Amino acid sequence: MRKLSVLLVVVLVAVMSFSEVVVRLGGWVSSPSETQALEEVVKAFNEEYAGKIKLVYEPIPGDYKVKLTAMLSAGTAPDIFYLDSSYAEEFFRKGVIQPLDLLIRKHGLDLNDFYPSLLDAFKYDDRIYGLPKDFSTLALFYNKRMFDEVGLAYPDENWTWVDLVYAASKLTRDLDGDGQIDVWGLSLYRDGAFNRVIPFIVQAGGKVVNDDLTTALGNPNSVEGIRFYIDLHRKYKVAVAPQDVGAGWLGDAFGKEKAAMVISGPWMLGFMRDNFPNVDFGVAELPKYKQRATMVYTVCYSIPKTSEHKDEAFIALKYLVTQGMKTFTEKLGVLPSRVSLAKGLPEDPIKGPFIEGVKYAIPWRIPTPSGIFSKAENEINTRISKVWMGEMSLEKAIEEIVANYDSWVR
Amino acid sequence: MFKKRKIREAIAGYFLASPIIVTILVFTIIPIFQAAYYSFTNYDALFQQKYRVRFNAQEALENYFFVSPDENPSKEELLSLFDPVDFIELAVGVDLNAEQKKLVKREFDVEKLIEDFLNRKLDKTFVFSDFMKDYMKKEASVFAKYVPDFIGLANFSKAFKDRMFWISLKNAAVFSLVVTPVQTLLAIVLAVAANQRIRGVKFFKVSFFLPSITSAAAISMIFMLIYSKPGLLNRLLGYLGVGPIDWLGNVKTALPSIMAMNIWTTAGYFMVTFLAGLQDIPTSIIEASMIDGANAWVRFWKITIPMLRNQIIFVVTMGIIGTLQVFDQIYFLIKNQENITISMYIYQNAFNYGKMGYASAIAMILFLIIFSVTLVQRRVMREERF
Repeated sequence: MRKLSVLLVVVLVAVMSFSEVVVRLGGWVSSPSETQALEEVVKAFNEEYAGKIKLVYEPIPGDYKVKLTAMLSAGTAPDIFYLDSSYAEEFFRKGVIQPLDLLIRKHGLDLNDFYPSLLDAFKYDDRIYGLPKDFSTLALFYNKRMFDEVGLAYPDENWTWVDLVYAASKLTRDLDGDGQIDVWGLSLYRDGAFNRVIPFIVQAGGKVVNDDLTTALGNPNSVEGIRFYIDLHRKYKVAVAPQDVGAGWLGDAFGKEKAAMVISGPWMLGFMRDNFPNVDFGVAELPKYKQRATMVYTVCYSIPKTSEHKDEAFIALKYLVTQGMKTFTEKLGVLPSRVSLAKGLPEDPIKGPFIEGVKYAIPWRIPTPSGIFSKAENEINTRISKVWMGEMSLEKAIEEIVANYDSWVR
Repeated sequence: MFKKRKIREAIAGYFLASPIIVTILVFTIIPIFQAAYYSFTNYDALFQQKYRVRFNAQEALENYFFVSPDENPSKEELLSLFDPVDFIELAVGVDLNAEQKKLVKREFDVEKLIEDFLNRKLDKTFVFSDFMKDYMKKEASVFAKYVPDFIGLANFSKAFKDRMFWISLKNAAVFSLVVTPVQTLLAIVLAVAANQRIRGVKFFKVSFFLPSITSAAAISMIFMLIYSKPGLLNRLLGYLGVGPIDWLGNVKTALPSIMAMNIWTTAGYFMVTFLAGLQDIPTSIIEASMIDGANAWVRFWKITIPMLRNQIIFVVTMGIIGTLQVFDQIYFLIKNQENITISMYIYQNAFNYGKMGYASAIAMILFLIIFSVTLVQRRVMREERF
């Protein structure tokens, strides 16, 4: 009798697991705590949808874009996967990603709750191809002790470029009198800097591309933005690259108190807490010039067109951006891409500036005729580095960019 | 009888060797031919599953017509509204080229589809290629599998006009011309040193060899610190009054810095080859030369080097191949496009720029270069046979 009941249970479980639709979720691995939170969400989903849908998390380690491309071309891609806004357009254009509009209509989801700048990052040809998981905007980090030392008021949302240069020049100091600068006002990237220059371009009233997808970097406002970024180093001499002060990246330079200010994202918060808990810092919105601007980096969940279970995948995706996002916001402190989940955050002194920023932020995604910007990005970055180091004039760099841009994006 | 046994043995032999034969076939031989083929096409990996798009045909049609079969629409009306090209591109989501559009317009069985729609036969998931098999009157095979367009030599002629191609090729050539002789010479010197009968020689052998078994990523990280502006190298140079140089950031010093690092990592590896060669040199020859009054310097040039001829040929060949393909250290340490080598450029085109066909073409060019250099080299430096 007992044997029989055991057998019955086994058969029942087997039947149940066969009737369950397995939906695979793939993404890169960023931190153990994030993996843990994700596994928690997956478990909660599987409990709620037991017998119907089984969500399986498959981390994809290594070079994510390369591996995802390989999986998509082999037809083994997960049913839901992360896509970074910076290269997502290539996948949209090449027709491998399922537009979600009809699924959203069928299964219901209020898109008005998402920040529009985040949805824009994943729209192409008037369709939406992914829903934003979370986001990071750029803001100004400042070292409170250093501001106190030189008797400056902390930065606030009314700061302009003039305030930035003024404060940075006061904060750039030779502490021991040996003729060498020990603390810099600002640290900025020299290499791979283009995405950090874009806010300056837009603040100056310029833009990166025109409506017809040709480059707008030659327009005088855009040049003014790029020039200001480089002038902070070359002309005003108030900014250095992190490697010039023995730091691996901006956070490192800021934590080691080699720079009084850096422009960076919320990923700095955990880093500072873990590595430099004694540095007392504040966060402000980026200084404005002709207008406000910042960058938003975001990632979406997408479904491939080849998925066998698009409806079930969308149900899981919907759960991830609703219940899941709630868990991620509470447990990990990530910035939620939905307004309703960001309640209370705009007033937070640390997270507030990031949340404010998303209202006027530009997504890190440059539309091009081929959907691929990475070649142009490499070429532009190379020239920015050279101008920064004084090996090339800005005029020459702009001239080369404008002359060759078209060949880089086709 | 004898023959039968031989055949049986051969079968057993091939059977036992089959794992490696299959592995090499699948992961080396076939990809080489595929790359050669792709170099004449505009192959794009992301299109590989182009015709494997899955969709629910009923839902797609409902969304196309804005009507469900339950509302009993008239067949004639649906027929008049239906355009198969629009349906495939917009509702199914597969882009067609001009020829395919013409084909679909001509051969698509609209009537059959509409009938099946009205009879509710379509409420299931279709794979696009199977769907086309069902609803194309003929030539459905066009939609069976993604075939890249054959574009002849376009990729190659593009490469010759591409500034980055020449820059990266030049960088690889310079890299090879500098690194190969230096690393070979250094390896010989290290081998001779390690071949001495002195105290602690094992320690030196191990420390010379250590870099070549350390992962490239780890070595790259260490050298990033050494080369950084406040790093070890600049501190040492600071004592000599040489200002701090951003070795890896500066366009002029980045490649030489990587070369030095590469020499350091590979010299130890080739040292082992020379050590084996040195131990093959008969002591009688050395003793004879000593009796003839040759000093250490003369012995090195007149005996050691000529006797190591075969090893030198091997090391130079492997060195040239290795340096022309140098990738990982460039990948980890080079920030500036002006300093990348050709294999890095191949990688960028294949995986970042979405130009697999072009990348394959450059890879073929690199293959031809390495092939001909090795061929010439083998002509010039014939291996000696004893």
